[in-house]
This record gives sequence, C-alpha cells and structure tokens, in this order.
Amino acid sequence: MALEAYIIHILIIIGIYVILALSLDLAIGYTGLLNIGHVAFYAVGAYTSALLALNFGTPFLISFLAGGIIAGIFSLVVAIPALKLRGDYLAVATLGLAIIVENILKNWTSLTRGPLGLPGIPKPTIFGITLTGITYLALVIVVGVVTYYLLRYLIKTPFGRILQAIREDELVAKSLGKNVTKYKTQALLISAFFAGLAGSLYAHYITFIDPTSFSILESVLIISMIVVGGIATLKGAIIGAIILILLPEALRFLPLPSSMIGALRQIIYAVLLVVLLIKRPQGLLGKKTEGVVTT
Amino acid sequence: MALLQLLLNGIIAGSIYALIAASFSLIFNIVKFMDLSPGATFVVAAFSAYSFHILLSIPFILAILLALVVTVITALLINLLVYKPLRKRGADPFTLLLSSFGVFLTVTGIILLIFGAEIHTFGLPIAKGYDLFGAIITPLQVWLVIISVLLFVVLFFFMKTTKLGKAMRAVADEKQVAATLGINVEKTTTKTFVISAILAGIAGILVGLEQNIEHNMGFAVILKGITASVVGGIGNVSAALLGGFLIGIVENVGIWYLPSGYKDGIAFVILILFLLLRPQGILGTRTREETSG
Amino acid sequence: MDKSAKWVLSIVVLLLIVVGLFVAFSPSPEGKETRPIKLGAIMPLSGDAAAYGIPIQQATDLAIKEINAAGGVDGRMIKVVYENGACAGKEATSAAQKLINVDKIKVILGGLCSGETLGAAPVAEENKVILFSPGSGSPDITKSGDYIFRNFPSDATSGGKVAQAAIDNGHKKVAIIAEQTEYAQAVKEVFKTTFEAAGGEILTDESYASDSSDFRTQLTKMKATNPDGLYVLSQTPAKYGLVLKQISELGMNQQIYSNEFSAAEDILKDYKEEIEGAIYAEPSFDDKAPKAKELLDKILAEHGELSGALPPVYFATAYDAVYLLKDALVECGEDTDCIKKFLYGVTDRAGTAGMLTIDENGDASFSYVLRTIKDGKAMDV
Repeated sequence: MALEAYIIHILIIIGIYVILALSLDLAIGYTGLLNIGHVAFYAVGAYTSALLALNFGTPFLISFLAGGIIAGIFSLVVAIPALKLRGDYLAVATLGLAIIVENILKNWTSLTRGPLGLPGIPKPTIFGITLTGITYLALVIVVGVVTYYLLRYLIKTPFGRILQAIREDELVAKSLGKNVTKYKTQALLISAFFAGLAGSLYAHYITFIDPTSFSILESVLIISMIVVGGIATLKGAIIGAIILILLPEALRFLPLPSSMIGALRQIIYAVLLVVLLIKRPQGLLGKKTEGVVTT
Repeated sequence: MALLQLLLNGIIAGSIYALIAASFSLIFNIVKFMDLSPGATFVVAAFSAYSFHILLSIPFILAILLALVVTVITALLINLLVYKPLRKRGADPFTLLLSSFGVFLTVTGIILLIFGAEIHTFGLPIAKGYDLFGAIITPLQVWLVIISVLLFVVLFFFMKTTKLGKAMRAVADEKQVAATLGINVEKTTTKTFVISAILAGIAGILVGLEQNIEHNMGFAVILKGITASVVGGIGNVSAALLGGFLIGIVENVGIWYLPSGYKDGIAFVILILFLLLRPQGILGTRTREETSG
Repeated sequence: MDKSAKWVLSIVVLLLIVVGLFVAFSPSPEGKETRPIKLGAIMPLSGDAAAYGIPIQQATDLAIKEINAAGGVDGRMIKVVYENGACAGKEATSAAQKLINVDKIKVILGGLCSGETLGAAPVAEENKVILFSPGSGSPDITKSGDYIFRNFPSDATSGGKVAQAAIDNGHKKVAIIAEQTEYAQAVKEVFKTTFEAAGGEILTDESYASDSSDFRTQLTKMKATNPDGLYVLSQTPAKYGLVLKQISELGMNQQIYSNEFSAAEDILKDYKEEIEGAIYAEPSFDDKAPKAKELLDKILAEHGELSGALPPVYFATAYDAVYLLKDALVECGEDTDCIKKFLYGVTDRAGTAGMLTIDENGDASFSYVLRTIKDGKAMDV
C-alpha cells in the first residue's frame, strides 16, 4: 500500500512505454522507417481490446491478442507509404496517418463514442484472478520481457540482419536479391503488433480511453524515448522510456508556486529534453556516428 | 452562392497555411529537417503584437514592427542556442525535429506562464462583410488574403533576384558547392531563419487580428503548414502559396459533403495522396522525389 | 558509455535522489494532530483547459484561505496539494496515484474535465478515497463509483431544457454546431434526442476541432439549410465568442440557443450585440444572491478581474465544494467511509451556488433554469 502503490503505478506506465519504444525502435532504428505514426497502432490496439471487452465481454487474453493482431493488420495500410517513401517524406506521411486515425476515432461515434471516450473498461481477469497493482505490473513485465527478448532475438537472426542492411542501403539489399517489400512489411507488422498489445495494456489499466489519449504528441513522446536512449539500441529504448516517464513525475515533487505549476513543468520538461539532445544527439547508448538519416 | 462562399473560406484559411508553409519550406530547404519552430514564432508574434498594442497602447503599425522584431530575436535565439550546437554535433534530422518540438513546448510554456491560458482578442469591432454574389467576406479578411499574396510576390522576386535569395537557393541545393563558391553557409542559414520568422510572424499577427490568440494556437497551424508545403512542392518556396490555397479550398469544400468533424482529416488525406502519387508537389521537379533514406 | 553519457545519466540520478529525498522527508500521516490536513486537487493547469483550471484554483485558494484564517479544521490548517490533470485520463490517473499514495491524501477535489474525473475515479474508488468534482458534467460519472461525488449537475439536463425551449418558441428546425469535446458532444446528444422526440427537426449537425478557430464553412452549411434557430455548444466561452462573431460576419440572424457560457463576463462585454436575445440553460445559480455576490466580489478584489473566460457558477461550485469537504473533515476526520456517509446525507445545503442535495449516485440534484440575455444582462426567461 501507499508509496509502493505509487511506484507500482509508475512502473506500469514505464512498462507500457518500454513496449512502445522497443517496438518503434524495430521500425525506426533497425529498419530505417521513420514512422511518426506509431501512436496509431497503439490507438487501434487500445480501442480494439476495449471495444471487444465492453461490447462482447471477451476474456482479457483474447481481447489483448486481438488488440495486437488488428493493429498488425492495420500496419498494412501504413506499409503502402512506407514501401514507396523514404526519410522525411515517410515521416510526414505517417504523421498524417496518425492524425487521420485520431480524426476517425473522434468522428466514428457509433463505434468509438467519439470524444465521449470509453469509460469502465474492465480490469483483466486471468484464470479467475483480477489483475490490479502488483499483479498488473507482473503482466506488464511479462509482456515487456517477451517483447525485449523476441526483438533481441529477431535482430540477430538473418531476418534482422537484412532489415539492417535495408536501413544502411536499400539498393544493395535489393541487388543481393532480397525482397525489400516483404521485409519492410514484416518489420512494420511486428512493430505494430507489439504497439497494439501496449494499447490493450493501457486501456485495461487506466480503464478509460478517449481520442485525446492518442494524439500525435504521444508519438513524439515515444520517438523522444528512443532518440534519448540511443537509436537502434534496445537497451537505449528502455532507458529512454524510463527517463521520459520519470522526468515529469519527478517534476511533481519540485515545490513550485501552485499558480505556475502547469507552465513551469512544461518548460522544465522541454528544456531538459533539448539540453539532453544537444549534449548527446546520438542518445545515451548510441555510438557517436549512429544516426537514422545522414544528410 | 454556397460554392463561392466555400471557395472564399478556403482562400482565407489557405492564405495563412501558405505563409506558414513558406516559413517552414525556407528552413527545410536550408537545414534539411522538419522544423516545428515556425509554429512557435507564429505564437510569439501574435502575443507580442497583442502586448504592444493592447496592453502597452503602442500605435498599431509600430506595435506590429516591434512584435516582428521580438519574433526575429526569438528565432535567432532558437537557432543560436539549439539548432546551431546540434548541427555542429552532426545531429540527424530526426533529433533536430525532436529538439524543435522541445523548443515549441518551451516557447508556448513561457507564453502560458506570462499570459495564462485564456484566449485573448484584439477586440476589433465585428465588421459586416462585403456581399459578393451572396458570399460574404469581411474587410479584414480581404486584407489578410492581399497581404499574404503580396508577401509571396515579394518572396518570389527576392529569391530570384537578390544576392541573399540566390545564396539561399545555392545553399539549399548543395551546401559544399555553395561554400566553395564563397557563400557563407552559416550566415545564410541565420538570415533564412530571420526571413522565415517574419513570414510566420505576420501570419500569427493576421490570425490574431482576424480570430483570436491563445498560447497553443501554433501546433495545428504548423501541421497544416507542413502539409501545404509538401502539396505545393517542398523545394519550391513560392509553390507554398498554391499548396496553401489548395489545402484550404479542398478542406472547406470537402466538409460541405462530409461531416465537418473530418475537416482535419481531409488535409492529411490529400497530403498522403500527394506523397504517393506526386511527391514532388504541384510545382516540384522529379529530381527531389526521395530524400536520403 | 563516454563522458557526456555519464554526465547526462548523473543528472538523471541526481534528479531521482532529489525526488527520493522529497518523498522521504514529506511529512507522514501518522504525525501529530497539529499537522495540516492535506487536500488533494486535480485540475487542468496547462494546455487548453487551463483556462478553466486556473480560475477554479483561485476560488479554491480563496476558500482555503478563509477556512484557515478561521482556525482550519479543529485547529489544523488545510493545505492543498495541486496536481495537473491536463484534462486527460492518463495524467489524472498519475496525479491521483501520487496524491493518494505519496501524499497519503484521503480527500481529492477534482477533476474538472470529465476525462480527468473518469481517469482518477477507479484509483480513488480502489483506495477508498473521496473524489469530489466541482465541474465535471459527464453523465458517465454517475456510475463511476461510491466514493465519487460532484456538486455540478450532469450535462444531461442542460440539453433537454434548451431543446424544449426551442420547441416552445416554435423553432422546429434547428442547425447545430458543437465542439468535438466530451462535454459539448454529450450535451448535444441530449438536445438532439429531446428535440427530435418533441417533433423538431435537426437540419444539420456540424462540429469543429478544439484547436481550430475557423468555423466559417460549418456555419455556411448551417446557413444554407435555412434554420429557425442555431444551437451552439463550445467547450470554452472564448471559442463560443468566436463562433458568435463568425455567425454575425456571415450575416446569420437566427435565434441562438446555447449554454451558460452566454453569461460569461467576456461574452457579455465583447459580443454584446451578437449575444443579445440568446436563450440558454444554466445551473440554477443566482449571481445576485447575497452569498454569491460576496464571493464574486472577493475574487474580483483579489485578482483584479473575474476571469472573464468562465461563467460565475464555476467559481461558486468550487468554493462550495471546499467548504463542504471542510465540514466533512470536521465531522469525520480523515475517515473516508464516514465522509462518504456524510456526503450522501447532504440535503438542501445552502451555498453560494444555491441549494445542494446529493443523490444516491453522488450526483448533485440542482436544476437548470432557462435564461436569456436582455440589454446586455442575463435574466430569467
């Protein structure tokens, strides 16, 4: 109880963002797909899982997996621009997609209830045990650890090496007879699947979701995590998620005058982010020369 | 009647998108990253003009000029304190984009701290509009469109004829070559930030006068600006005008047929269609189809 | 890791140590009786909705100052710990977790945005902590838990009242424009249902995003349908004013139906002509009643202006909520089950916002009245 409960809460939020950051790193860091629309997968996963649970009383494990799978299927939509565009152009396209998804969540009221959001999403029950607090954290940790080891395994397999070859030089990869289209689509699919799982974990933890939970700013936060930690380093993604979740929480404890709390927190958070980027643009764990796009 | 009104609505909105798009394009061409800071300078200009004119009762024209000075200083500080050190360190465009987001949050946070979250207005009297065959446009809106178009004419000749304009284009095309031709790349970059800030600043003041000002008015605007810039042709600053008008008109005509909640979505659907089918934009040339991957 | 990485990491570690120290040395609840009682508060202190959060913070601070000057709760001062809910479920959940588990707070005032209240409610409910909202109107809050209360009426009533007024005025064809937010959409739905059930016809149902300030095309669409009346619902009075302005610029002069923002100071001042004759519903609140007037004068004296962005009723509900929670604390100490019973027992309690009765769902049962603007002043229809 008490302080531990708060720490558990923070750890759960960190865990969810670790999964998001890890999955995005597969696309951005290892495949070189500058995806600013990751939040769309997160949103699709959260809404799928919540709607199944609310409308059909689907058991948690099924709605959880469905969240991941539907997000994965949705990634095929993103794959269309991802296969055709590169660099900043892909970044702008995915940004647009994320905004379109948020727009649809707001307007498709018969399905999503629009801005009213979905309250009362049930806490998950697995084998008769309702997960809250420490048990929920356990669930998040299990999913996080599985995500980490699976991605770590993947990037060391020939599949992962080809992704990295595509990132380094797509033409070379192509000339070696690799089906670049297939590999990029698969990388996005895996990335989206895990983001969808994270969405489900978020929805069933907070128990209330609405379109504002999935604004483009969430994407920026997740990208900040992998850049701060160091692009294309899985451990970096984890460290980045920890820092960027702890930072605003830590700012809660600074004794600031109450009338300025909101503005000051925003400024301090933003300035620290900028300073971090200037002092170490390649991220905490990144190698000196490593960057996504070199121009 | 309705169609004409929709076109007018689109052109009014498009004029603002166009200015922000030009502001964004200038920086993008020179430093090759998606800079959100025009969204911040846009807000700074609006609030400075409001402070000088309304709070300090400085005459209108002088207040606008002072506001633009403040805006330019802000942009120079942003470049000097954040982007320059990052460029020196060889940060990739993604890191620069993120840092510009940090800049955006810092600037709007400071404005929130000073002015609070309330929406402020210049309190101009509400004018009855001119009636053009049943469509209505207010005098201020006419000015807004004229100023925007005029600025583009100036910008067009500036880029084509002046030494600085040519230097900017040279740096945009090929940094190393420009440097060997004796162009001071760093200085040209700084001057680009100044011009970009003036464009965004004027847009901010116009919106402030025509609608209202609030500390977070910049984000939606910069997103539309980026869209307009891509649709017009990102390498071509003058094309931003076309892009702005096109986005403005299509989104306004679009919600005549679609539920109006989809207004923001429409702009981005056009964006993605352009990226897929005509990535060089309306006026772009085929060579800039893909940036490095 | 090289030097700069260590540099950055050491800053992070330092930050964490600072936080640790704050946590370790923040007073524990087992302290002596003279320690201040902490009251949590969750409201939007940044972002768009800070336009609400900050004035409500002023009303809260005023009430606390008075209570403490009068001796607090049995000699113990009340100290408010503010957390930014940022008008979002996730932020409010974190804020509630922090207030409950770190500050060991038993009573929370908030949230303001319905999203905040819905996000914080499960946390409060689970920890048996009182969550008392002075401003959330979402009908969903009714069912959100036993420890969740509010002294603000559910949105459901407002829309119905106005719909009936439109029908009574013979305005059977109405065009709607509503902001894409939880509040505006919820009220609009009720309006629509009531209006259509009473034989009215909705000609068009338009909406706009919160971050936009150009509604001309939506209004053009409404104009083209030739309605008898316009139903306008915004999340903030400032956006409402802008809609009124653009309605006027487009030369539309239909009867306007709306909500309590019509009586916000800024609207009456800046949109004098446009708002004249508008018919709206507002929580039955008489700002001329002695208690209400006294409160508004005090805030005016302290801050130089009534934040004109808010209708006065919000100051009153926040102020009343603090006093009600104080009485609960006097009665029960920090025993939340006792406070819960106390709050369910509130009937016809006089406050600055009028008579308050809390029903079995923890909802306030004070009603909406229909009002109109005549000669620049709000009055009953």
